[in-house]
Amino acid sequence: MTEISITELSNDLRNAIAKLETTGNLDEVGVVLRVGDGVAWVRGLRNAGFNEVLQIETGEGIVEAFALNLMEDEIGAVLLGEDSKVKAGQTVRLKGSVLSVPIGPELLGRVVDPLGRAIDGGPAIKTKQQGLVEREAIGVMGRKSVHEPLMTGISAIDVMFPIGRGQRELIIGDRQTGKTALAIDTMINQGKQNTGVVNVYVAIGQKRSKIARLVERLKQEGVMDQTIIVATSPADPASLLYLAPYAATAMGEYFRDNSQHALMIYDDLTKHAVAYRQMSLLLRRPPGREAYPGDVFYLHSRLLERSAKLSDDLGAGSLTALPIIETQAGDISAYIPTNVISITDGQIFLETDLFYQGIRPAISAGLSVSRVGGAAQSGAIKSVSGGLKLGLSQFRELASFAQFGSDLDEATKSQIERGQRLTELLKQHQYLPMSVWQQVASILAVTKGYFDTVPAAKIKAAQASMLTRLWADHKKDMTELDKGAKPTEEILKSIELTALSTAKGFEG
Amino acid sequence: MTRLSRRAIATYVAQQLTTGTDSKKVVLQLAAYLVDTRRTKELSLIIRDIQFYLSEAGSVSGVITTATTLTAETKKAVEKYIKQQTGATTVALDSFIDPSVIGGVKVSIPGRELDATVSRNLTILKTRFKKA
Amino acid sequence: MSFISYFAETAATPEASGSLFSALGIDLQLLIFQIVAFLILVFLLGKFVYPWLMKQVDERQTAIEAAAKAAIEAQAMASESQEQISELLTEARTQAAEIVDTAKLEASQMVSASEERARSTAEKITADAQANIEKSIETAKRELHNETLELITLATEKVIHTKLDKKADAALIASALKDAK
Repeated sequence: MTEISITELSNDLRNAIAKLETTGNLDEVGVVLRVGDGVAWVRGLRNAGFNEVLQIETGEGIVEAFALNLMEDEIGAVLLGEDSKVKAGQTVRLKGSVLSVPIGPELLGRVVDPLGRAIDGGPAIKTKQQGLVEREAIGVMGRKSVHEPLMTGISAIDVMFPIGRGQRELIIGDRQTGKTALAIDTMINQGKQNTGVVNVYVAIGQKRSKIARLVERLKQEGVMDQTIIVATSPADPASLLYLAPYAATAMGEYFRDNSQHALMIYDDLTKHAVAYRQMSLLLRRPPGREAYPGDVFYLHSRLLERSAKLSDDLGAGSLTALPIIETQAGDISAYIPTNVISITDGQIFLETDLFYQGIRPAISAGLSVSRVGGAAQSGAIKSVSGGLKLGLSQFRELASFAQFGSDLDEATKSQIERGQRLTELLKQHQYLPMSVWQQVASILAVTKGYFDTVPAAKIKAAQASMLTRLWADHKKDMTELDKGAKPTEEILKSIELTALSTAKGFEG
Repeated sequence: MTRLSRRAIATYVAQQLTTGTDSKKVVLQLAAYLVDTRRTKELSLIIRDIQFYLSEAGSVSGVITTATTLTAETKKAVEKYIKQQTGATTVALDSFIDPSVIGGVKVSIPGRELDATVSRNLTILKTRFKKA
Repeated sequence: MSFISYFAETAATPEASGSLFSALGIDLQLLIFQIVAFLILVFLLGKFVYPWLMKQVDERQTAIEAAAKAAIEAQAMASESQEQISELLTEARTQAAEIVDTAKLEASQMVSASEERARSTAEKITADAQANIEKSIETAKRELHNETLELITLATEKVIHTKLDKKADAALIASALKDAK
């Protein structure tokens, strides 16, 4: 609507006045005793429950808080808004419900805060349903084992550390190693491959400029329509940072419970733990190791346990989680990283050294693992993964000998060269995810030796050339291969011929 | 000695008062305890808690806030209302005039409140229907 | 030398040797001498000169034959290499053509991809501008709504303050108590 209609405005106001109830009830009330650092201590309200929403009546409106510390004489409630509006002596009422957020498909394409309020300047979010922020995870019998692949579009991950729908795979590494980039590429791939997977990206304490850039990029790649972004910045109160992943999971669970698939990206849980530590210390809870409260493990375990693959009885939907943890100086044996590693079904470890050597994504093949493995791989990818893993592991063993060059025997030299070619092949530019057929064809070309005459430095160019020709000359075969089934002899033959003839043009 | 919670103190005092112990004695006991444990600052909170437990025992005390002087009729109506809602046997109400409420009545009893003042309604109109 | 002088003497007396040969003017003794000399020569030639000569000729012949054979083989090899070279050249030309084709294809795909991107960017810019306009209108509407609410409240406050008397207030309180739960 591009005009301001006075009639519409006056109708809105008339409705507001009509709805105004001039009568009240004898409600249970409490009083704010003291407030500070985002925590309000309330006297009274003896019937308040844990996590229940309290409404503090200030002169400028109602500020909501949720009760976290239920003590004998007072309640410690964490404010969900600015604590500057709350004063001691103000009346507090119970809302009558625990924290819930709007959920539903109306959220797709929007940027919201952890309470479901739009922050992208668009119209207010109106959904038909509300979802509980804190919710119990699905029981054992309601789950099914992970068997469908979640294609990230990044060869290194899809072939060596495959992620399945319903899995939790941790992305861990130092700052500036490409953790968020991996997550973004995975989101873009869901759009490019039309997988129908809904992306929910939770920005926990991320710079607003970074979130704005992300939204721009997702819009450019045409993925924003199937993405929900729950954003909190470092300027938001710690309570919102604490709630963000739970609220976002509630939004993702809507799709999981309605037989759809959703992908949760928590960026990043280190900041989440720090916000929770801040809240706990201000609530006067006793500090533990590294000043974190005693239940910091439970903080993440109950969050990640909600990501699951549901059984057929419950609709066979899934919620996949990609939590991100930032380490300091590569120390994965610190408190929070070890906690989350023990919760998740595998981790992808990004190393600073590899990043600066030019190997991007900087995935450490030795330290990364996927505990679901082949069960979540399509037949096509599985058929090439063995060769790749073998080639790379042999190369890793001999890598230290590569400097000896001419002093090695032919077999060792060829293994080293093969490994160098594979390493070069697995490098990938950002925002360019690869489909199944592209990954299979590229890896076959190197592992079967078709590219043995191509020097490592020209592998990427040869790969690009081969893929262009394959798509131009054998489109039908490649479309068939893209469906995921093990490649037929005919398809293998066409790849071989194209690869060999492409290799001739790039011979060193 | 472990610190007694306000709830524990209030429960004890309320119990003493309802079972007929001499109120002066109870008051002195409470005062002595608070002075001894240096908790005199919590007095107003403890009194509120005592009022709460007394109201649970059937003796409700509260404050009626109005914009103009309360008529006897209105006061009786409020007392009836409170007896109805809480099942109290005795109701003792204080009256407080506050022109800023403009009109209507605010009834505050321990732990509960009925706010039917015009000023609150106006605040609700001003704030609850604001578009975020 | 005596036999030579003997023959010379005999030659000097022609009538004693026979009438046929003397009629022909052939000196028989000389003839026999010449025949013998010739035979000796033939014998010497045949024993020493002729074999060596034949050997030389044979060797020459073999050498010539070998050279001829080599020449023929070289010729054959040359023509074979020529064939191979032309084969390789054809293949190289085909491959070069293929590579050029692929490059052209990639280039054209890149061009159409960037065209597509440019078009979608232009569309996006237009859509964004439209969205921004709608957002500012929404914001304006919102602010107007909120401002009006404030004004209504202020006005109501003022009016009720002056208009509300004790009787009306009492009625208000009575109805509030009635409706309260």
